[in-house]
Amino acid sequence: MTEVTVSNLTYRYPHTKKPVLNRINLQVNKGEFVFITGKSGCGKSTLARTLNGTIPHILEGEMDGTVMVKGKNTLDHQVSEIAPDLGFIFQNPESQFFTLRVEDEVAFGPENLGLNQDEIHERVFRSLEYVNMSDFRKRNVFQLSEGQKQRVAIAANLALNPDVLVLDEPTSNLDPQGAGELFQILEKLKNEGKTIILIDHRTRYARKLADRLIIMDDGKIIQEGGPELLDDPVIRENYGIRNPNLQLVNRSQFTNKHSNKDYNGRLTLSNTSGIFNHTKKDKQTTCNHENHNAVLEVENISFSYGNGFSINDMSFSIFQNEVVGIVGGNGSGKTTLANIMAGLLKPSHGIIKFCNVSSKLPTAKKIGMVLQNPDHQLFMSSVYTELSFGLPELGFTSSEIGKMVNDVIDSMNLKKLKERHPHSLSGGEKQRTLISALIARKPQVLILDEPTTGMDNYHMNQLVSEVKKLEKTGMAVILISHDEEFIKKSVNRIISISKGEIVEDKVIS
Amino acid sequence: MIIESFFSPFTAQNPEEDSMVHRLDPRTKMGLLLGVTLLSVYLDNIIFLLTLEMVLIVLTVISRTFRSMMRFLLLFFTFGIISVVVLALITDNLNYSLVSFSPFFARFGVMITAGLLFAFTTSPNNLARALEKMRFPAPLSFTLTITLRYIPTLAREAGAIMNALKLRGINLSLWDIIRKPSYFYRGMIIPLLIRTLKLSDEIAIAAESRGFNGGKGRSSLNTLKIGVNDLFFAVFMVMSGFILLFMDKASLLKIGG
Repeated sequence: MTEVTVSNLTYRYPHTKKPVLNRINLQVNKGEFVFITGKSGCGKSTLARTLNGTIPHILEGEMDGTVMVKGKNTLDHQVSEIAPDLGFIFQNPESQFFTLRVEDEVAFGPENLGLNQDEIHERVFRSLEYVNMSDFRKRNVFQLSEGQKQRVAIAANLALNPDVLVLDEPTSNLDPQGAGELFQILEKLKNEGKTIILIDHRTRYARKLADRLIIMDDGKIIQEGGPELLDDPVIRENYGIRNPNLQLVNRSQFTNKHSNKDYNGRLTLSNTSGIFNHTKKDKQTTCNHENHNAVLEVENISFSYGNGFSINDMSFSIFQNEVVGIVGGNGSGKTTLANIMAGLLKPSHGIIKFCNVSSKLPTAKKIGMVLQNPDHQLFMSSVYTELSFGLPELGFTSSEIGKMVNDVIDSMNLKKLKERHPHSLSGGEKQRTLISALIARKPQVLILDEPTTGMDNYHMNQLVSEVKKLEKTGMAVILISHDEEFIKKSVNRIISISKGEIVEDKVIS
Repeated sequence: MIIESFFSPFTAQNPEEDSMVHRLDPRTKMGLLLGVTLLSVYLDNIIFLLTLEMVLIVLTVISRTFRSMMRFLLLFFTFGIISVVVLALITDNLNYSLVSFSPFFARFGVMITAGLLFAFTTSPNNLARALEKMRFPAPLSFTLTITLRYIPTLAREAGAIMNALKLRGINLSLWDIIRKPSYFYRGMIIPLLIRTLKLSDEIAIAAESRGFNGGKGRSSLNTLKIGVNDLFFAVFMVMSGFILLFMDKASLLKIGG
């Protein structure tokens, strides 16, 4: 029995000429697990938005063709009318939370359906139990981990009891442990006959669970078949798809110190040859670089938010030409540590030294940091002016600024983009602009915080080569990420942290 | 970061640590807010206005929102002190400045404390339920509660933008804003506007995806009920209010007599 039918679907966003979806035909049967992947911007998220009626009812544009969900034509039914049949789970669960308490959040859907109190209680109880969150019923949703938030988002959808679930990049903000837990739930749902449509860049788990793989490119479905298509390196290379079989660093680096189970229930160890561990005592010498050219020294740093989470007595040095991956699960303290190093947070104890001196020059001149969301960091009306934004404040003269900007435009290959509005760029281009804006001022250290969120294989590889280029200039690059593949391809040293403490520091030869 | 923690009480309410004030029916707290506002207008003697403020501070302590409250109140009273000093310098008369401004700031202090106590101890969801009970149109009550829910989100967005500015070497201090307003416009207003537009789209999509159709025919997980605690609290507050009002008027008569 067919649950979702997409026929001859073409869609253009307002004020654009090129269709983002071009004659899409798709049928999803009851109980099927369909995995849709492809390069960033290939149209897969847009396709997801047509399935629950967001397009055309909320997002305007020009739509031809039909989408039928359980016999309902989305053109004739509002999004809220389709919701009981088709649940939709977004990339960032926090943006879809309407209440503060877990049980209120799960009850939001059934309340909208006007169900009676007993029925709502029953559905809330069952949904939370299903995602193993019953003990968190009274908790504040904002105090949950990213993985727990995503589980609450699933429970909130299950409470509407839909037969079809669409998940749009649900693992983007999750560490491998959180992603593993999410896929355990999806496996259970699949076994119970729910129809699942998953859109994602991560392929590892989908390879095991999916019944059918759909690859999209340039608004079209260009390959359809079994999930084993993901094993073909040519297909992966052609369509920017991540490798599902990649095993990288010790997975325990991404898991909680006291809970090191992964999705497979085991620790995956690989590529440990050439890796030597550092203990706290020998850290300074084992990251030994004969000329002692440490550009950044973190000495006995402690910090607390006052909510129970703290960073405790961390010490390490970062050297020239080093690409250091700081890894750890969600909430391990990676971003807090990066914020301290970049001068955004003041440590309660300890000091940070640049080139062995604690100087009082503005930190922004010495250390650059690209935050996770580009929208927070783009301020000007063209790429060219974006690159010079803030430079006068750092004391550079106009002639110096002109030279710095032109140099970075050449080295980062931005000539074609320099007149474009930064907000009109693609995700990868925005990030390249931001990195360029920071490296124009030639910092000694560049930090990238979760730079590959929602990034396909093609753009990830492009970023890897940009990082390698920066490494050659002598700059130290710190990558904060839980993207195993990206870390494996980019770094020559890994600092692993858990619960605000360094648990491992190793150089990869 | 500072902005974010400033607004954190709106999202940091932990239901497991609810206090007696949290558990009061929002309608009781609305009554308190209205009563305190009226009372602050009628009280003339600054001693009794400060007494009323102290009562509210005690409730703040009970509700464990004292630290968050003090951030706002310190900002407000700093502004008050600056105003008194400026007027004293202009008129060369500290006494005149104090007499003119003190009741004004005491009154506003009371209103702000009562308003924040309500905001810090009432979840948006409970507020929506209370408004629905009071026969507010559903779309209106939903919009109001969603606005409250997203205040800290916007604060967090503003905090992230400020961090991004700092990383470019721009600290948006008051002096910087006065010296170069374009930095504030370019650096804060434009990105915040873009994020707000994106967020509002996300909210609309997420709400409808969960079956929300403007609030028509909504039911509720829990029913709000005015309980014994609400009655005790209301009686206690009304009596305290009357005693304060009586003493205030009696002190005025004494001065007059």
